Amino acid sequence: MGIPSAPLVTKAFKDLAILNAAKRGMPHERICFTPHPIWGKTPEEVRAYVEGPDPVTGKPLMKEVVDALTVPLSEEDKKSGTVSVSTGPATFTDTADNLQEFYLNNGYTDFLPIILPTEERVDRMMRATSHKPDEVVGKMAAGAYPPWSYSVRQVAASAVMAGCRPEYFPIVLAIASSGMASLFSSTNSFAFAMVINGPIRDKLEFNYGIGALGPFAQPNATIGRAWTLLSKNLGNGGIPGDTYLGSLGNNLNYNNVVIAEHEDASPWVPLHVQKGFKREENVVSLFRGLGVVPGQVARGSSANENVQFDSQMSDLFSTFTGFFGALIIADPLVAARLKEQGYDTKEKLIDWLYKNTTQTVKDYKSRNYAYLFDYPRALRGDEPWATWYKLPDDAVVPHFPHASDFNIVVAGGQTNAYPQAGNLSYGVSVSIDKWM
Amino acid sequence: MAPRLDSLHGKTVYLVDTGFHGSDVLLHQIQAWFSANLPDTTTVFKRKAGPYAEDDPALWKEIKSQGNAVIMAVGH
Repeated sequence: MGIPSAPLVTKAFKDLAILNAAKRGMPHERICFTPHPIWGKTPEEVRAYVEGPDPVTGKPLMKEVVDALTVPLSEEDKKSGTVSVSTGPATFTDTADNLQEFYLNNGYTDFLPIILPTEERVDRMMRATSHKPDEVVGKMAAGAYPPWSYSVRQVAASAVMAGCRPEYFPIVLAIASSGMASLFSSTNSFAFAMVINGPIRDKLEFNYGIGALGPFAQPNATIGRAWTLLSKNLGNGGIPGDTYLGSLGNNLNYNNVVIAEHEDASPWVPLHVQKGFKREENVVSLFRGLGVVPGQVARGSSANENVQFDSQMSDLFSTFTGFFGALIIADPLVAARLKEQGYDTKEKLIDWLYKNTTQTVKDYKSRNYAYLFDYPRALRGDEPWATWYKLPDDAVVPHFPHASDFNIVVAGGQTNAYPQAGNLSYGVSVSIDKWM
Repeated sequence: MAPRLDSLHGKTVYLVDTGFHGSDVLLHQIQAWFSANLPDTTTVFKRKAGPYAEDDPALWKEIKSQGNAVIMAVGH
């Protein structure tokens, strides 16, 4: 802007704020700090912060703020520069045990043992694709760093480390080509999911039956893990306090939510066909959000033959943030019952859910995400939020802003009629076949 | 970084709320501090439009034309 500024940051983000300023070419930016947190404090408590010291320097906070805007810049202050990050050497040589320790101690793993990516294993992995070893697959960014790009060979190393068989590699390449990392810097501890569609589900023996979302098949387990490892090692993500800030973290980040859709048992069109692909194509679709909740928490009993699964699903969404969407994972029993209820297409069910999952404006405005994300959109005139914020408190609005925020997939072993639901937004669908 | 001001006397300082919870409370207290301690400095409170990670070029344009300095608060 060309005019002086003084950023105020809470103490908990001291290192990150200084590092991010440096990444943007201002290693000497005059950042002032308050105690942490500000959120939830009374005006009187915050007044004491303002009248008290900067907890980093110990000097009076407001003197620091005024000085930040008025003390002339020194020659040192005017120096610019950026932070460079080493990607390390191309290869390492040592004993197997030492290399396990080396990878572990340098943050290259998820703190579980890895399969060492020897040249032989990486070469074997790369033979599962027609793409050249040095071809650029894509790029990922983490935190405030510029994006990193990566090659087929580098993705292959992550796939080996995760325990993938070579025949899984085109799926890992498709995920990597999306540029969507499975580790995100938000303090909200994001979770990620993928949906696999097409004949490759059977060819690679994905599990989409009993325990579909559990640790019961190698492709389900390792491809999800590869996503996280490549997000760390090729995307620079997952460095606590730097490129990762999730306060609690998310256990789903170990291998993400991997869902192979049970296409044969579904009464509906599979997800990838909804997204414009042919049924015989192999596709991976990626989602981002906060996690998954089980249908057992919904009202109604599956022992009741008249149970209304549409209402149950709507019930599941009451604690969801509308900032992300809803990914419904329906056991085939649930899907079949819904079809009997009249939902012979996913679109009909989504239309019902969109119109019948509602909240009062008063409840809506009281939600954290609404204040943080939707209110500033309303200020900008973005719809539907601008209209919602003009409505009276007792008016009713949809829980999710658009019908397109809903996605439905079918998976599970039909041992019980429960759905699960993810507060997850659809990101992108990528052809796996293009990476074979 | 932009050149600094000689002082804040008679100047207009924009207090920009990025939208994180509590930032508004913090900036209103800072506004009160200016009223009590630098009464000839004008302060203008603004909440940035759009989610915190998104740009707000209209506000930056307003600040550049009508303001002399910015204090941006993150809260959290």
